[in-house]
Amino acid sequence: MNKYDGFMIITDRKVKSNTFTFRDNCDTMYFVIMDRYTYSSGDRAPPSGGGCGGSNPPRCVFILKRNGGEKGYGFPWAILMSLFVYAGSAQYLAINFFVPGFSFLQVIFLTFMVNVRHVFYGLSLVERFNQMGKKRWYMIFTLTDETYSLFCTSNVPEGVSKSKFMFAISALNHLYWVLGSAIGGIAKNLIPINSEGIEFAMTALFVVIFVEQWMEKKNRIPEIIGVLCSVVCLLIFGGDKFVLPTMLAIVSFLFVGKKKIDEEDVSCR
Amino acid sequence: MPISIGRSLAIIFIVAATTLATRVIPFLVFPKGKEVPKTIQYLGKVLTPAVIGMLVVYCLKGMSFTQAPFGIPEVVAVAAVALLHIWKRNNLLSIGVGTVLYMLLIQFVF
Repeated sequence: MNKYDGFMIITDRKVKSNTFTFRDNCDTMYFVIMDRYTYSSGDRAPPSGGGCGGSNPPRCVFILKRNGGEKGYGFPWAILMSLFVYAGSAQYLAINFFVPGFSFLQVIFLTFMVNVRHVFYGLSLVERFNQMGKKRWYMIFTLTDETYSLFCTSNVPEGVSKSKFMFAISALNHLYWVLGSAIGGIAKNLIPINSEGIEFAMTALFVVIFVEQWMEKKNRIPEIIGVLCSVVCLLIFGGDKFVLPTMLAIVSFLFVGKKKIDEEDVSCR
Repeated sequence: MPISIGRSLAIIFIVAATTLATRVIPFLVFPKGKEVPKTIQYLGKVLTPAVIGMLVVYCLKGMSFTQAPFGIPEVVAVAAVALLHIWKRNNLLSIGVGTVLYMLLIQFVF
């Protein structure tokens, strides 16, 4: 069996099943996914009403686990990845790169395809980050799905500098991610519950944000465009290749519908 | 390790650099001090809800309607999260209940 079988995998559920396939094929390494779910009130208490502030998104902990023998990747490797890569899907995917014969070009291509959605996040934050001076380089480096969604849904508390608030979200998320890797690596055997399915917290987070945005009528057309383009592209291109076509389709339809979408009222706060 | 430490480090470096590239591209195209074109300003506003829609689908792309359990756990849990959120509008409650429901469904029911 081809030891690269598992390499085109992104979703959590699939990763899990593929993880075992991979381990069976290549018994020198496998990885364990553990998840923890952190809520940090950060600078304020969780809101009782709208807004997504106060919640920190689900954190997945990635561990390259030793499997017996002297070969294998201990948790320092996971920490290294969490610190410098800091992107969930890419870290899942990267597990499959650590085998002989996997070319650097493949690594670049696959990583790029998985992460190309970041371009979107950057595009909608260009103006705000450009006001943040030197800090913006760290903001760019730490721009993840979760950080982005918090930027879009959190209200800056009164009397707090917007750029400091955003910087704190980025830095805390980064810290939690790295800490999560460390704790997971050290305490992985101490957690007794079966955590299968806990990755759904991420889906639930996005559903919650989706509903929140839906409450504002002006967001509805773009939301519908986003969902429809994604579903159609998913059906046409399949789960591994649909993100890039989806992005192109979304941009096209957003421009086609520009007149209908009342741009002044649609905003990422 | 199946490959050398040097190569492992090189892979991590490449993954990190490629990921950074995807994040930095918009900021290289529209650097500080240069006025952001109107079209990009427009995109900046309307992309957010569209991307959230895409992320929901992205998270659910692994589910299958043709193989057991036919996406039932996902559909039920997503519906529960959405309805609970419309009803109570409490983020932690919606996410927490939805996740526990999903875990129970896939671990014990399906």
